Amino acid sequence: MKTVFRGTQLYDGFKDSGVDISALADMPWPTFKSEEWKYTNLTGLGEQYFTPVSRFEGALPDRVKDLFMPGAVNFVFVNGLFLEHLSETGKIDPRWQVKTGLDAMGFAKSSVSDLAKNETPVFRALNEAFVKDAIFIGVPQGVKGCAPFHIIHLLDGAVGRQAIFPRTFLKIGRGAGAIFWETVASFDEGEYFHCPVVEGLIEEDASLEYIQAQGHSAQAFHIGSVRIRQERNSRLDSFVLTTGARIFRNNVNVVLEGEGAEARVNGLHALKGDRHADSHTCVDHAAPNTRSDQLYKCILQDKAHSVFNGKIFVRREAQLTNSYQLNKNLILSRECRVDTKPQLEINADDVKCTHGATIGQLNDEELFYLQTRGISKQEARQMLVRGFVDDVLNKIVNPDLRAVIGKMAAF
Amino acid sequence: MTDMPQKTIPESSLTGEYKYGFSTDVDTDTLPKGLSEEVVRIISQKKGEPDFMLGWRLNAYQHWLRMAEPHWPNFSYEPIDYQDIRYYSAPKKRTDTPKSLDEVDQEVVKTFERLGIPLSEQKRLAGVAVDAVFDSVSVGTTHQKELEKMGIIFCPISEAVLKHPQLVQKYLGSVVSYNDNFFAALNSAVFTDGSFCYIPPGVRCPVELSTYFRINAKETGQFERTLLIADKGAYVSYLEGCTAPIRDENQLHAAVVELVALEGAEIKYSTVQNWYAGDKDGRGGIFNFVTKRGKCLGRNSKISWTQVEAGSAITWKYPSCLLIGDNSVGEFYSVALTNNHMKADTGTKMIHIGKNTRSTIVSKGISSDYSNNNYRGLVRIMPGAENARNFSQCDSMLIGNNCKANTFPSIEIKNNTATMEHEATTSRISAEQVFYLQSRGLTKEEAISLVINGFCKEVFKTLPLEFAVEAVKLLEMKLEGSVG
Amino acid sequence: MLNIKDLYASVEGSQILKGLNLSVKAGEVHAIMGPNGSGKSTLSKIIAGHPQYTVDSGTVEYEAAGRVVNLCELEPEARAKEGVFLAFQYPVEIPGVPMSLFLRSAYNAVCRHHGVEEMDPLDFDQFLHEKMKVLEMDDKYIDRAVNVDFSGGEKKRNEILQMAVLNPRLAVLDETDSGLDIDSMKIVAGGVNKLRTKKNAMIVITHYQRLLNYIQPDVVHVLHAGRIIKSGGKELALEVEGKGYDWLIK
Repeated sequence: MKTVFRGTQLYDGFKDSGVDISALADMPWPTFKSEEWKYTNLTGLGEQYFTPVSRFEGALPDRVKDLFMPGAVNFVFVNGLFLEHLSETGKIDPRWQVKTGLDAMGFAKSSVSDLAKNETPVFRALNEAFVKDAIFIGVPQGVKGCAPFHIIHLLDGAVGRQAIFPRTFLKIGRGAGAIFWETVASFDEGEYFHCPVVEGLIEEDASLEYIQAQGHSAQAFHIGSVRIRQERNSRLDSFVLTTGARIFRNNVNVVLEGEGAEARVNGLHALKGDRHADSHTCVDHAAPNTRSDQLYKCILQDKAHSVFNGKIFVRREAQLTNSYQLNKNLILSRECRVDTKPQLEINADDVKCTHGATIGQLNDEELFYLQTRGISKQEARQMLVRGFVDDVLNKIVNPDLRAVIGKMAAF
Repeated sequence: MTDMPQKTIPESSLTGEYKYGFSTDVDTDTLPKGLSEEVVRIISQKKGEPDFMLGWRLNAYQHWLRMAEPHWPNFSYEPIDYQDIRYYSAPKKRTDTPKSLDEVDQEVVKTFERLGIPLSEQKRLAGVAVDAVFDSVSVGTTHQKELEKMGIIFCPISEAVLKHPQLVQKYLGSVVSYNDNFFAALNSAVFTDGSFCYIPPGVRCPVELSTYFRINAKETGQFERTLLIADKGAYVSYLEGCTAPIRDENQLHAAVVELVALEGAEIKYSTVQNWYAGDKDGRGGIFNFVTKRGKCLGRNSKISWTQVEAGSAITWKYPSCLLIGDNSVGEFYSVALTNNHMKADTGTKMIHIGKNTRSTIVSKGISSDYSNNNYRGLVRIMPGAENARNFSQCDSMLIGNNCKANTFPSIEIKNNTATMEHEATTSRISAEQVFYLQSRGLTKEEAISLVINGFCKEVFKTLPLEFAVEAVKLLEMKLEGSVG
Repeated sequence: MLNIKDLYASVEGSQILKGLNLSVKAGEVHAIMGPNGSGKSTLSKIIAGHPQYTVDSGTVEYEAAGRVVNLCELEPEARAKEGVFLAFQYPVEIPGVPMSLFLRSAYNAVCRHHGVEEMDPLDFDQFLHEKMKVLEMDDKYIDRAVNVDFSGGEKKRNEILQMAVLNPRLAVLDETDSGLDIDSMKIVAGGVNKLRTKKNAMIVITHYQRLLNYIQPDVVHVLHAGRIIKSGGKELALEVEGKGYDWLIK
């Protein structure tokens, strides 16, 4: 028996908005029977009634300024709508191409966009149908060393149950380099549905450091996807931090299309309360001599639930691939739950692929050792937790960003 | 370190061909093709079963009718026509109940001798008690008398149904219920024979118990059922071997194995599976859809699965452990080799329920030619499983660039005192390694076998010695000519 | 013992050796020096029979047990059984295969070839222990997988250990000194010198003269662009060390 989108409350909400979504009606609605959604139950989301956001009316909290990153070009979106007057458009390097709204969609269609093959079609289609203000950022050939580009996505739940569909396109030209950073923040415990799509293309010899800091409300639903294609000898350093949500699901797909491309795909789940976070990664080695390295760490307290599903996929032509993946979980309380599924799919014989997963608690011996040196138990715990988190934080190349993320992930 | 048997120059007889591919001409008592309630009744009647068995079979059949055949994510196969299979085929006996081997068709006895399994009391293998299953029925069990003296019951399951109905009724279906899955339901409805074993409290079974399965008849499915019970403090080591003749059409093998270990008991279950795997183009071969599960029911019990899977066109098999008793231990050691067009999807489930339960998974997949080799596993730590421990290692080796090796481990942790570690690697036999060994005087075949043995040694060392030797030979034979 | 005549050889379609001639007699040690890409390693691979290297023309005659064979016609293992040994520049890692099993298998393969009785594992362990002592190798290596997690120096020592075990008639040492510190080099050279007899021969391929202070060669050859352009006594090595190769390459 198949469940389709039409059968959910969510569908009704979108249909009532007046946009014709009949084409989406028969798309499958994922259930736990699908391997991809085995550990994240979307029944709760299906029962929600959300309205696609149309305009922003409330007053903006002053605190949004606190999220600005000094030294970066800060852009502000509230509930998916671009607020030009708050954004530092004047600070953009003149060589960069930055487009918003319909312009962005047009640019993107001609340069980076392509349909991600293993995304869940219904969410992708919803984003296509309801995206308001997309953003396109193009870094031209050879341009590097510019200030980090920082997008702040403020999610305001006070407006009432809204569905938000951000869309970001990144194109790093030949030999160029850029740091790109997205902060998602919610100031209240609002209920909203956040469904962003990020697409990126890193051209030959180019490099990108891409960071997401996802700080949602505990009542939020987040289903996001990032898809990055890499050409010859390009390099990606990506990092996703999440503190979870009611349902948090993020897919990160990287396709190494050109020989010599390298990707580092890292992440951290820092979960408390009854928050949930589900990260799916897929690194697709589609060319020879490509390398990838993944480290996802998850730290859980209270009744939190963490899901990691990582895939290394090596195509037949991708000889001499070198691929590494590790998922480490630290559980601090009795009622947490961890599901992890590190997968390898290998179709080439001359490759080195290794993956691993560990699950454990704080080491009593280590705690004791610290205590015998006069450190309080509480402090010792914090030190050990910090130690657990630090080695993934150290994967963030830019030291300023590392410090900010470190603060957000404080446990 | 392990001492692998010193390799000598490969015998010329090891040509890489399937050497158990002959078939035997015997008079058989065979049911027409097709499955119906009537067929289930006839099977039960032929076995002279008590009512409870017939009722159980019919229940299973009714469930099966409502179930859908599972489909695997990683490969597809031609649909199976369940009405085109014979569900019963037995070599004709001279009398209704053979009292001795003399009453069994001598062609059948010779077949087992050709397979290296002599059944007569004079020639029987020392140290191993064998139950030989030919198509749908058990044709002979050795060492029965000696075992009886110790209270050990080792007999065909059809005999156990008649002689030990209370044990059968208590344990049959207690680990794999008749509606567990599609193939288990089918098996429950139509199983014809298999082995039954009961080790009484405190007894260490002095010999290896073994069942040898042989599919002979055409268009026949084999649906055997094995039930092993180790009572408190008992120990048994059980071996299982399988072969089939070369035939162009696919044949279905849907077995169920249930193990029960009570307090302090230990069961070691080893399989060397070499069903006919089809020819170089993937024609023919056995569909090996098997449900194997063990229950560590009592405290301090232990179940250990070791398997060397080298045959079958398609293998679907996950020998699993339910670790219910506190401090119980589950182990899974596997070597799965695929070549030509074989497809294997195998692994294990370790379900930790009791406190301080421990499990170990070591899986080695070797794929060559156009084959597809998957490890699929689940480690689940339930909320009550305080201090559960799991260690998993899943390594793959690829030979050639047209094969696939996939690893799908699922890990579900619902108790924070759990510790688990999973590691997986993929590697290959490189031409450089082979040359290095050749430059030290080994032949190419010796070089390959050395590397393969090194890759598999953690699994081979868990096999009884004779089986380990056989397993090594089997892999060598299968891989001959694989590394260019 | 070894007579290479007008040898042309290629790897992956490009010709590296172009008319190489070399003659080595029993009891001699020959050093081969030459700049990168001159064909030194190709020569060693050709002698050992690496499948990726092809002989285009010429012969590699090897005299064993009173008869002359063309090495190019033999499988690598047949060459090893006839007493040809290559110490690899980059020894290969073989996970899962313990050293003791590997060495015993190789040793017994050679024994069988010569119709000598094979050695049982216990005797072999003792035999191995003696050989390892000479190379100052710890017994713990016996149980480790071949070359896996060995340092560069350990790998090179392991090559010489294999040489000591197999006792070859013709040994080719391919840059055995590269990556060795001075102490390790002394140990390795000492091991090699112990194996030097009137009946066997060695070809030492090296970049640097310093190894030749410890393993004294009878003849030194300079290889360039696939052929030997100069041969001389051990003083030639010193000259090359001092002046480089340019003066030889006109």
